[in-house]
Amino acid sequence: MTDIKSDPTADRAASTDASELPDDVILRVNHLVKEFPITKGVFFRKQVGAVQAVSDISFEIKKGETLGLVGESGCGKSTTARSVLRLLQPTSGDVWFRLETENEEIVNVATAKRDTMRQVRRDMQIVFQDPYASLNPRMTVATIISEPLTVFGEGSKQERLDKVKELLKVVGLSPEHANRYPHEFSGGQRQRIGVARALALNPSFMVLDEPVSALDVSIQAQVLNLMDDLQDEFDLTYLFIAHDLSVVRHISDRVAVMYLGKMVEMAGRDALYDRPMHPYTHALMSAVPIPDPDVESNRERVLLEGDIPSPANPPPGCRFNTRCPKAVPGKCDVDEPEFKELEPGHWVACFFPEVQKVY
Amino acid sequence: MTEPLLEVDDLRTYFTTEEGIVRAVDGISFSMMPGQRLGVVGESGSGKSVTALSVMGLIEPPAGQIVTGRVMFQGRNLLELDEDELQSVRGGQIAMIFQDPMTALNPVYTIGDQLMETILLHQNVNRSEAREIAIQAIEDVHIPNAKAQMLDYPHQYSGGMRQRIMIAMGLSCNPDLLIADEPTTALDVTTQAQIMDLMLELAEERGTAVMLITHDLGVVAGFCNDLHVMYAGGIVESGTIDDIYYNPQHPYTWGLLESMTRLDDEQQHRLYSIPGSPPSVIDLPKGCRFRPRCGFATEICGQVLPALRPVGNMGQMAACHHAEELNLKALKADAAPTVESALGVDSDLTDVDLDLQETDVEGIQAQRSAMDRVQGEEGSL
Repeated sequence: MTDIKSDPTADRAASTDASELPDDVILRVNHLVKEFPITKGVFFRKQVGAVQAVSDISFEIKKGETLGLVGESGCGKSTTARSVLRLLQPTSGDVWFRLETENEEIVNVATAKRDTMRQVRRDMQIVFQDPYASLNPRMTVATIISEPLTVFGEGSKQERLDKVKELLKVVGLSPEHANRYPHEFSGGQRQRIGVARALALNPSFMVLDEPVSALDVSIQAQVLNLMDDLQDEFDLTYLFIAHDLSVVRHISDRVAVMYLGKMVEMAGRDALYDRPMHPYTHALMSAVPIPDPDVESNRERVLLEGDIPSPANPPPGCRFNTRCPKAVPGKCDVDEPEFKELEPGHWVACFFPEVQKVY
Repeated sequence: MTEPLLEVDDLRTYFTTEEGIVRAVDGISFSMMPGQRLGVVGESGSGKSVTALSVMGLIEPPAGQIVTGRVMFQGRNLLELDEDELQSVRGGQIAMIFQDPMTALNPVYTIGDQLMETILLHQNVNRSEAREIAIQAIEDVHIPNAKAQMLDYPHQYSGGMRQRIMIAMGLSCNPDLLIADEPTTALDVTTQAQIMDLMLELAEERGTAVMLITHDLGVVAGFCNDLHVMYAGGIVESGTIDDIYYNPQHPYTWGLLESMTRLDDEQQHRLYSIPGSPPSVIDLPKGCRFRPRCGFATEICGQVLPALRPVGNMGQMAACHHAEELNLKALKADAAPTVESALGVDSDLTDVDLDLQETDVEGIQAQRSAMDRVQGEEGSL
């Protein structure tokens, strides 16, 4: 075991000097917090509290890798992603990002000025969950895919159209479909259009927010394979957000588990699935059904009691203590466990971490 | 041998839309034994929910029509019952749980009122007895403090709690058959595990037969004894879960199992994927409906719709012309033939082209005549 550190970025976090971002790291999130105000009253909206959707999260993503971010609804995984892209303004914390410019300038997305953000937007893209809601039904496929190009004034009209056709081919659609409307496509095909749009500006980093959870099983595999191919072809870095742990295992290099706005465990893919240490990770993984009757009938489930507490009023101490089978009164409901590196690259926030088999 | 609880025979449920006739369920037959837990798996549009709604008599004319078929339940054909008789079966002997527990519960009535309504309707009891039964039903689904919960409204509950209430409501009259239509799809995975665990416990305890409609082959593996796989309005394979998971006979079933990501899969290999997407149920391909996506298709597949027939293990059935020759059990995903090689078409074709080339004149004509038939029947009603 290596020496125990208490924050994935602690040794470097003290310094805000961006140049210290290691060469192979494309994104570093430092103590990210995102709060949503709770207001009362109709005319004078008085703030009476705050929901801390993301509460002090730190992580890094290396160039070309896929970080999977998993958790149940309300755990803050989408808020994290949107804060990283600054589609939501983070309440506090830094998001260091390496631009794809010649000198690989490193900028803080959380505080960047307008001009810099414009540059950031080219390099960071997102694919949304619902391929029905994320494409404008009144626009043709060509207009949808070329919109980012138009916004950035890239190329002439003809060049943009050529680019659209090329992109359609890349995502496995046919160039003749450029003049059709989204309703003429199935869910999987629409998701491909969404991917083509995200690729239009040659980004280096992509957030994939539940890209396959709205799709049928037979279509999920197609889109996952496509994401795999594109990553190799265009040297992409992914932040892959999902609630389906088996999909995440397939696509990710490293995986982080969130619960109620906190990261509870983060490790390399195999380390996390083979040697999970946090009780919540155990419960989450043991709840995932495996399509194999023999395996299913011999599995022991860690069933959790109750529901996720409200993020507006999180429990004191460890946020998981109210549902944790291992919680020790007087400890877990009082002190908050630190996020520590217990094995190289394996981070856990628990007072009583223990490896447990989950399948 | 005991009598089957439910027998569905050649059920066809069509919907008339502006675009044409939707053959949502197109000639399915199956039976369920008392206490059996049957999974019905299929993708969206495969007809699995419409099957359940047809059995429950919840298809609304004139848009939806049960064109042919019989649904025998305890010696009676449910399709011939009038609304009053159906009402006594629904919620009494057959209960249903829906996917979205928020829309299935009435937001302006308390949990207690809604539970008691069902009980008063189907059981010969007075209000205070109904109250006792309702409280017991809430306790049975492991919600603590049942008496106080009777006065709560649905919005006060989380998704998992609401689904528990739906189960309590469904089971309050001790039905013989419970139809659960995607009961956990809207829930988180830890809540899903709780709910499936609860359903299994209650179904085993009371001997209730359950028809579990889902798209998740994982949920089925832990809950059901038997499984039907549906595709484009028909059953393409049926058997015990062991038969189907370990010895699939239909290329679609095989493809589904191969394309699934698994939690316990240690290799990050490339996923097998079934090319193309499911056909439109308005414009079904001629012959086998899976043919445009099947790597094993031959000429006959384009001409004759294969019937569901015994193949593989005892009791297992599949609707495939070539089931015997394929030996899917031993087939590795990377050795599977491609659709291009089967159809002899240009390999540059993308998925979409495969979908689009299916429009054939004969298909459209057949569809037109079916439409005329349904409309004619409508007129004669």
